[in-house]
Amino acid sequence: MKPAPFEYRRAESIEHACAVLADAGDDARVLAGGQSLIPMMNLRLARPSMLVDIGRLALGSVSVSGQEIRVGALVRHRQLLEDVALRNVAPVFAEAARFIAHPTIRNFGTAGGSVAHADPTAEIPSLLMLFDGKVEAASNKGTRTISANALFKGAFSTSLAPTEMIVALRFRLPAAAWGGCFLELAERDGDFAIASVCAVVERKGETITGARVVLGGADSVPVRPEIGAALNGRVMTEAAARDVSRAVAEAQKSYDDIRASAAYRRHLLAELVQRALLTAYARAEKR
Amino acid sequence: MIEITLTVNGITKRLKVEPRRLLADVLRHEFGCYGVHFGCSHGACGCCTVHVAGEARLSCLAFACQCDGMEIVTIEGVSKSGGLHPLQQAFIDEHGLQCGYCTPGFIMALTRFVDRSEAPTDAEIREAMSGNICRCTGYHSIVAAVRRAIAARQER
Repeated sequence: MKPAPFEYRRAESIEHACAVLADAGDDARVLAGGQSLIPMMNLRLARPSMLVDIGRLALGSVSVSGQEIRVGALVRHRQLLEDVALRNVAPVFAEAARFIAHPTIRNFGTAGGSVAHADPTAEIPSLLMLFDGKVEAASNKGTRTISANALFKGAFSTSLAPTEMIVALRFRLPAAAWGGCFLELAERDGDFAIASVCAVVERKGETITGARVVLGGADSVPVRPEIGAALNGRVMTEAAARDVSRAVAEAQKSYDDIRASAAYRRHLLAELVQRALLTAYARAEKR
Repeated sequence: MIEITLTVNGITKRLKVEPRRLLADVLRHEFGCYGVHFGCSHGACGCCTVHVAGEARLSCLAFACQCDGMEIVTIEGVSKSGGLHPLQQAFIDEHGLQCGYCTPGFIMALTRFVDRSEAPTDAEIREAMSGNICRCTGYHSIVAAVRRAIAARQER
């Protein structure tokens, strides 16, 4: 298999990348780690006229400052597993990264690339929704910030313009004591998820003060249903988690595909939401 | 066509390549590294794994032009002694291969794990090799080979 021919430009700076993208027209694509784009090109599902390789730009660091985590566009998945500062404030990032493909792909696949690719069950887009995330997107007109809510438009579709590139992802951690959990089910270790769930529970003593979940496999984009009202002020019990998880899962239309039926996905989502809420609640106690 | 420089197993060449040429393709045809095997060409099988700048990478999911100026090691150059790499020897000792098509990919994917692990569980070994597929299905022997290679390293 060989990709269709394309022009190749190696970006020397963000400004250079943006200038090339602005001149290139709508068929140009940004190349970061290439772990999703290159297979699509090999299969000729994607035939960009030009690749703008941003792989050597200095966008590969994670920084934690107060409640905010900033992840450079070129942070590799393996860094999410290994970064000590990140693990200390939000171990759920490593828990999520463990589900991303396989170790070799995690060496080169990037956080920004995963978000721009927007696979409906990908892990980092779900985390971005879970933590009220934003992306910083640069173009030759400057930099703008797009909230995760406004970013994901559909399967493999975002509100990024063809002339824009992601520079960084920003995640906002809760201020109160909280615990997180990321769960997913795939046919085999590292495969694309059939369904995934991530959750955050905030608590004061035994009492829940905030709760959120994001579902992968419920729709063509990650979905964040409102669950706070049903749980706030209560103590988490198996029954409480089960009631919420069933209500959340039943409200999803979901979809049939080669891996699973919509009904099976709803069943999985209910189970995963329940487990994730209970685990996140238990983890919040230890913080 | 663009001009790039690659250093493969210590040999540096300046080449003119089409941007669309995959690293695996250039390693095979320009450097004669036929141990770099194409399996699936879309990142599902791990057969084409090589080391780029010291890290395991699928050479079907990299363009040669992306690797301009970088050092690459393939199965042909994995042993620094001239003999076999300890993991290659462990594959032989534990019968870790049948047809052998997947073997270079397994070795190149697992050297870092073998170098850094002390007493991994079977689950950790299986996770480390989860990106590589053996269609002869000889996985048990590969797990044993990884374990043996780690023990051999600890004895040295």
